Amino acid sequence: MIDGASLDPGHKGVIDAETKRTRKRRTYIGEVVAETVARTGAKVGLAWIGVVAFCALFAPLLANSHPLLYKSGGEVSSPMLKYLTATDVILLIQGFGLVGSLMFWRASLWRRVLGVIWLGAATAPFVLWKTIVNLGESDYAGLYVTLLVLACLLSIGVAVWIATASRTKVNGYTILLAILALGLSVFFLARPIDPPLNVSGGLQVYRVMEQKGEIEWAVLAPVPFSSNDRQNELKDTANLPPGPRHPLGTDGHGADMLSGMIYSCRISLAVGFVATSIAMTIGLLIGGFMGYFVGKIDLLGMRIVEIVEAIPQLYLLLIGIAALGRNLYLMMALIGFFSWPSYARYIRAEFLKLRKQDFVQSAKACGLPLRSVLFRHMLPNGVAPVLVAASFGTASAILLEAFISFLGLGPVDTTSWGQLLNFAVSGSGGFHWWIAIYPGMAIFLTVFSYNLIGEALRDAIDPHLKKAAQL
Amino acid sequence: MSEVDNTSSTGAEPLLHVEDLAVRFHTGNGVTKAVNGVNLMIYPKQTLAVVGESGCGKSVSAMSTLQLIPTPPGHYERGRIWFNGRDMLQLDEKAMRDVRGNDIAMIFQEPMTSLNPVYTIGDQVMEAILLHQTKDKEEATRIAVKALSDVGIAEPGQRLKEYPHQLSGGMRQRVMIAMALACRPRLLLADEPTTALDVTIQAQILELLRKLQMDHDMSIMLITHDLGVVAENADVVAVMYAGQVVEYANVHEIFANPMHPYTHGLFESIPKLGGTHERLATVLDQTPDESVLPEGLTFKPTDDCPTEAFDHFPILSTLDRSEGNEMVQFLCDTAMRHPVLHEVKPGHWVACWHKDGFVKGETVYPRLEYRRATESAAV
Repeated sequence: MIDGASLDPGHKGVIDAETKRTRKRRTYIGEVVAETVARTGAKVGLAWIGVVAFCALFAPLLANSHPLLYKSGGEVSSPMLKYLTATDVILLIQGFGLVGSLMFWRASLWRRVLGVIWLGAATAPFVLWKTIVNLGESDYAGLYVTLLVLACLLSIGVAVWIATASRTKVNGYTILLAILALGLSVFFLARPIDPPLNVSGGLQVYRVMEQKGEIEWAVLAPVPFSSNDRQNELKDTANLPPGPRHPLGTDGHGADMLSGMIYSCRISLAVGFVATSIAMTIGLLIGGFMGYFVGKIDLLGMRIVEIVEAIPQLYLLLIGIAALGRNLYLMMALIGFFSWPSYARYIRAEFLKLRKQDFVQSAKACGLPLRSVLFRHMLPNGVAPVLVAASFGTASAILLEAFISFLGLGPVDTTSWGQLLNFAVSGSGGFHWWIAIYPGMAIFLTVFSYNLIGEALRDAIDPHLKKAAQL
Repeated sequence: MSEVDNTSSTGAEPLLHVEDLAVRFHTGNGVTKAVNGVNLMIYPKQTLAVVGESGCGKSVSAMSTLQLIPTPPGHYERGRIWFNGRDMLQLDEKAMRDVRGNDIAMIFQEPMTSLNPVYTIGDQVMEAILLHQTKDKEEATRIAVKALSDVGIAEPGQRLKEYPHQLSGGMRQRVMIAMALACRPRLLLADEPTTALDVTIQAQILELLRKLQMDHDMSIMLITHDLGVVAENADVVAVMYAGQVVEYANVHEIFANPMHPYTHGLFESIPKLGGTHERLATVLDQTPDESVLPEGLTFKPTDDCPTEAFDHFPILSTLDRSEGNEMVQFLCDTAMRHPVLHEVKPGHWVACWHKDGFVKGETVYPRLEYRRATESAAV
C-alpha cells in the first residue's frame, strides 16, 4: 500500500486532466514581448525604429553619390561597392544578416538579435584587414596586426565551435568570447582608419562625367547624393529649400538633407544602443550585488549611486569633449558610464524582493553556484522593470547626443540630426525652416517611439508579474 | 496507540546532530533570538517531525543546516551541526555547495513560488543533476525523466518541456520533490511541504514522501504545524517553542503522554469534531508560567552558577573556567535562565528547570533512534 499507491493509473489520470487544459508553451520573456508588441503604441514605436534601423543599416544603398552600378568606357563597375567604408560593410552585413535571420532562421528573438550582433562583430576584423595592413608606417602597426590576427582567429574559432556544437548552451565561456570579439571589433571600428571616402576629383565626378556623356548607363541610389557630397561643381547650393532635386532641401554646406538624415540614423541608433548597453551592464552588476548581498555592500553601493547621480550629465559631457576632443565613442562612453545608477536602483529593488523568494532559496538549496543563482535565476525575473527604464534611457541618450551635436560639439566626420539642426540658423542670420523641421521631427519621433515602447513594456509587465510569479 | 519499545536503539550514529544551535537576527528593532540552543538528532531512515507555532525557529533550524540563513541580518551565534563527521556551520561556501542538493536537500512550503517561473521544469531539474551527478546531457535527461516518474508524474518527458505555471500546485510540489531527490540526498529537509496544498493532495504528497524515503533510505526532517501530519508520518517528534526544543519523544509517546505545558496547549487547540461550542483553547503567553509546570519539575534559578549547569552544558567542562571566562559566564547564564531538556522518563525529554528525574549525561542531547513499524505508516 505504501509503495505504488501514488503511481497507480487513477492518479495519473487525475494529474493529466489537471494540467492538460493549461498546456500552452511560451516563455515568460516571450509572453512579455508578445503582450508588448500587441499594443498600438509599441507597434507605432517599433515601426518608426524599424524605419530608422533600416536607413542606418542600408544607408549606402539608399543614398549615395557613387552609382550602384554603371558602364563607362565599355566597362561595367560598381563604385558603390568600391568605396564602401568598413562601417558600411559591417552594417550592410548585419542588415542582410538580420533580414536573412528573420526570413530563414527559425530561432528565438534573442538568438536572432545576438546572432546578428555577433555577425557584425565577427566580420569586423576581416573587413578592416586591408586598412590595418596599410598602416605600415604607424608606430603601433605591429600591435594592430597582432590584435587583428587574434580577432580573426577568435571569430573563426567561435563560428566553427557554434557550427559543430549542435545545441550550444550559452554559458560563461560563450559570453566571454563574444564580449572579447565584440570588444576587439569595437576597438578596430573606433580607429579612424577607414579608406578615404572621396574619390579623386570629388563626389561630383559622376555628374561631371554624365554631362560629358562618358557614362553609357548607370543605376543610381534612390537618393543620388552622399551625405558629404557638397556639390562642388555647382554654385549656391547651400540652404536650398525643398524642391524636385532635393526633396528636403540642402543644408548650410550644400549637402542633400535627405541623404544627411538617412546617414544620421546611424549615430542616433548607435548612441542609444551603446550608451544604454554600457549603463545597463554596469547597473545590473552593481545593483544585482547590492540587492543580493545587502548589508555593507548595499550601503557602499548606494552611496556610489548617489555620488554618480549627483553629477550633471550635460556638463560632464561638455567638459569631457573640451578635454578629450570631439569623439562619438567618447560621448557614448560618457553617457553610458554615468547613467547606470537608475538601472542599479531598479535591479537592486527587484533583487531585494527576489532574494527572499522560495525559488531563489530553492536554487541555493540545490547547491547552485552564486553566478547561476544571481544571473540565471534572479536576473530574468527582475530584468523586466529595467527594460522599461532602458527604453526611456535610450531616448534620453539620443536627446543628449542631439543636444551636444546641436551645440556643434558632436562627432566630427559624421552627420547627425543634432548637427543638421545647427544649420537651421545660418551665419548670415536667416532661418531655414526645412533644416529645423525635418531633423527636429526625426529626433522627436525617435524619442517618442522609445517612450511608447517603454510604456507598452511597462503595461505588459505590470499585471503579468503579479499573475505569473504570485508576487 | 500501542505500547512502544523504546530500547530499539541499535547504537547507530545519528545522521544529523544539531548541537546547541543559536541563530540571531539583527533587525532594526534589536536582536531577535530566532533559535536559542536547539538540540536535534536524526538517525538514518528516520522521520523527525519538528512541530511548533510560526516563528518558533523550526525553519531557521532547518535552513541553518544548509547555511541558507541570509547572513547580514542573521548570525550563527553558537552551536554545531554535525553531518557526516563535518560541522556544517564551519564549511566554506564551496564545500557547502557540494553538500546542498547532494547530501542534504530541501523542499519548501509554497510550491507556487518555489519553482522559477522563467525556466522549464526540465531546465530546473536538470541544472542540479548536471551540477552534482553527470556532465552528460542525455544521461541527465534520463535521470530527470526517472526522477519525475518516481514522484508519480505522468508523461515525464513531456513535462520536462513545460513551464511551472502550466502545472497545478500538487504537480509543482511533486516536481520540487523530484528536484530535491534527483541527486539522492541522505537527508531531506521538508519545510511544511503540504501546508499550501489541499487535503487530498496533501495526503498524496505525504504518501509519496514515505514511499521515496523507503526507496532511497533517506532521513526526513519534517517541519510542520499540522499535528495530523505528525501523527501519520513522524517517528520522533520535537516540539519547539520560542527557539528551543521543549519536548522530545517518539510519536506515540508524545500523543499519549504530552508533558510540557506548551505541548498540552498545542493539543488542546486542535478543534475536535462534534465538540462543544466553547472557544478553542489557545497557547499560553511567551514565558511558561512556573505554576503550570508539571509537579516536581520546578527549579528556582539562583544568582551564582550552580554545579548543575555543568551537567546541563557538557561544553562547560571543556572550557577554561578559572579566570572569569566570559563564555562560561554566558553559558551559566543560559543554563539558569532557560529550561534545559531533561530525560524525565526513558525516551521522553522535556524542557524544565529542575533536575529531578533527569538521567545524568543524557540530558542535553536527546537521542532517540526509533522508527515506527511500517504497518502503522499505512493510511
